[in-house]
Amino acid sequence: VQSHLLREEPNNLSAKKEKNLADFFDLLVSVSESGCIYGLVALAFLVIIKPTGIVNFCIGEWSMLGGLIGVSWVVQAALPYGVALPATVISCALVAYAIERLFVRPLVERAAPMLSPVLVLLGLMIVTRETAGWIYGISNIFAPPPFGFTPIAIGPFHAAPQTMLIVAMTLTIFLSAWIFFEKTLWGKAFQAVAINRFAAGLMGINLGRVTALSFAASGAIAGLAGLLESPQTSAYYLVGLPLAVKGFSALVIGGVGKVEGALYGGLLLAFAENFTVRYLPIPSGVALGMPLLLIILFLILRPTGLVGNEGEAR
Amino acid sequence: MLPVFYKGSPYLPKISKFLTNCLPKMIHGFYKFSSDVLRYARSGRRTQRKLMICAILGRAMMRKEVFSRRCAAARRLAGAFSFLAILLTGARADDATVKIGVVGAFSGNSYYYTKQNLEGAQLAVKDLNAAGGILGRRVELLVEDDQDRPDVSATKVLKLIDEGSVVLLSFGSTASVLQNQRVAMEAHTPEICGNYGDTVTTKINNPFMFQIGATASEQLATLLKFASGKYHKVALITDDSATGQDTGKAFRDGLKEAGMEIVAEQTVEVGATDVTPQLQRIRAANPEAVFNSGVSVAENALFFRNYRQLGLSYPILASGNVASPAYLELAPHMLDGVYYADIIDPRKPQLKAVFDGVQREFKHPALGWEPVGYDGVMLFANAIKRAGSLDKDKIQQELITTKNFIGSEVIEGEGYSFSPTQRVGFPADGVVIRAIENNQHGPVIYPKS
Repeated sequence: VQSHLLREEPNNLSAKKEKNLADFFDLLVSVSESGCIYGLVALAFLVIIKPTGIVNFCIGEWSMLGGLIGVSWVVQAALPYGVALPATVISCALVAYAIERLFVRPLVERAAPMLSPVLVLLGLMIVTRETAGWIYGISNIFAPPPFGFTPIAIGPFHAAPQTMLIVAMTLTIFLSAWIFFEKTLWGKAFQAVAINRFAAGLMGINLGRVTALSFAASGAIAGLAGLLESPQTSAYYLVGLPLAVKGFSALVIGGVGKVEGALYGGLLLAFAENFTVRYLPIPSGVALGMPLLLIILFLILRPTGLVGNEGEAR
Repeated sequence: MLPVFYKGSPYLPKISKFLTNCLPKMIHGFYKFSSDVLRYARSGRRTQRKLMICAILGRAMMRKEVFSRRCAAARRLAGAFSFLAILLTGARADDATVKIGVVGAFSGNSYYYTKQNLEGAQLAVKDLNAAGGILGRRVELLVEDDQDRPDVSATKVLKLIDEGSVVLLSFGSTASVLQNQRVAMEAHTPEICGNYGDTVTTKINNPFMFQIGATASEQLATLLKFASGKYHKVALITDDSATGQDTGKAFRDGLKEAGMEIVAEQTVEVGATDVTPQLQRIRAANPEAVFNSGVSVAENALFFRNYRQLGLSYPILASGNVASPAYLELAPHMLDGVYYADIIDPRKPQLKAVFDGVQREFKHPALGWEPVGYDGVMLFANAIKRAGSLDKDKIQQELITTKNFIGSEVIEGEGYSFSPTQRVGFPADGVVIRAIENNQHGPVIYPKS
């Protein structure tokens, strides 16, 4: 057995250059995959923040639920992926809607301070996580990718089919969100509530419905992010918080002004993460902290984010 | 002056023990008795009856005429008896069990492993009780979750000691063990941890602290013996969890000590969605082999998946963490060819008995870390039996002189041994090397039987 352990590696210069270029393209694929996931989670934050101003850290747990519910549809119920995906998204939307009706709306209707729902949702984050651990167990669950693991080559890019699915779905969701906010009456209502909640209510916009819809949409997007990511990282009950932190960081970088900011923020965060670890000549552990430094720098130099307008309150 | 109070008197230790152990118990018992009497006198008839039932006075005493309102004197007498019975039975219930306190991270990231440890301990207690207990007493586990927080861990250990734990098992991170062991040492309570961290027993001077898991440096030493000097330039990858960092440090130190050059050292963030940049860095450094000391299952599985997707094929030598069957499900066939240090030897009959027991009791297959909990309880049982009492100092003395105790862990034919200078019970050559083949944990390939 030990005779197999030593491996010969090609060591000529042109091969090294080719390898470096291939590394660069592989890294771009990796950035697009992670960036899209961060972007989706950031969008889930944005959809609630826009009309209500509530920062909901429970979103990470909704992503976690998306992964776990999706796995149970695909593996236990043996549903085809094409059916399991919408079923998961609807399930997560219903969970988020229920949370809004049961825990957030009573606070909003009683004119509670803005921090109250934030704290309630923080508490629910822990409750959701522990309940999921109790229902689905504490072990990591394998989420089978719908199109396998074998990478597909498109020009210089080599990407797993799941990565392509993540990118395609993310672009579709962002395009839909952009059309919704910019081109539909409901989207305008969301914008109006975001600008002045009180005045929007006086103009006949149903504030309760807007809030409920924003939660349901956020749950759906977060659940989709979790489902798409689960074949890469596995589905388990502790995956939520790191995703929420990444998503929120992406939102801070991108800015809450426009929908596309969430995607730009996610991509930039993933770019910083991947390229610092790969190319900065510093220890890997230190490189992991570099994206946080980037956020601090970004907040100092451009407090409104990538696409935020100057003077806009964040 | 009494003739017992002189220097060197053989009575002094007994008097001291009486003052420190028995007297507080007597005062506590008297207080309990008094409060029970007061409670009885103040309570209504229904509560008084309940107290009677609890006191197990016998059905004859509970006949209507005894408790008749007309028979007040008999009622008071019965009441007095009942309290005496409460006191005695209560005292007997306390003394009738050997309490083993268990503290660990039974929630959060580490729960995957600690749950298995706990199930092993529960199985051992069941086996012990089925065989008549320890010193004729039933064994009882008191379990506390420290949430993987060192500060909470110390408080929980204090609670377990207050509740009467004579010994402690600790299934948490190194940081938690380092905090709680100070409390255990102050209370002279022997503690066994199943941790792999090198700092737990080797860097602290606590004679009450024992470790039964194979340390990370022992695992690495076996991996290096297996590789038999083939590598000079290696890469090291770990994760940024507390245990991952601890294991990584032991691997780094060991590799350097063995004269190897670590050409790439990479850390994977817990919660990472991609390990491609770390793997590219490793590939750019062109090592002869990759040592993996990661412990977080999701991130480690991601590492193996990305490793294969990038087409890398350096030999991987991993810590015992890879023995988890979870990897075979999370990254199917992507660990084929990985060599790993294992603390369990499938050839061992004791191990098979534990695994069968887990399947029987918990209705699921064993995952590999149950033997740590099982052996911890059995080591304590052995020490308590030899001590012949529940005196914590005596148990510690017996534990520290344990020699070649055959448990379910450790290579066939070898057992745990402790000494005042060696409180890591796992023998230095007790680790085995196995390889993963066809998405299954293969047989032991080193050392050959």
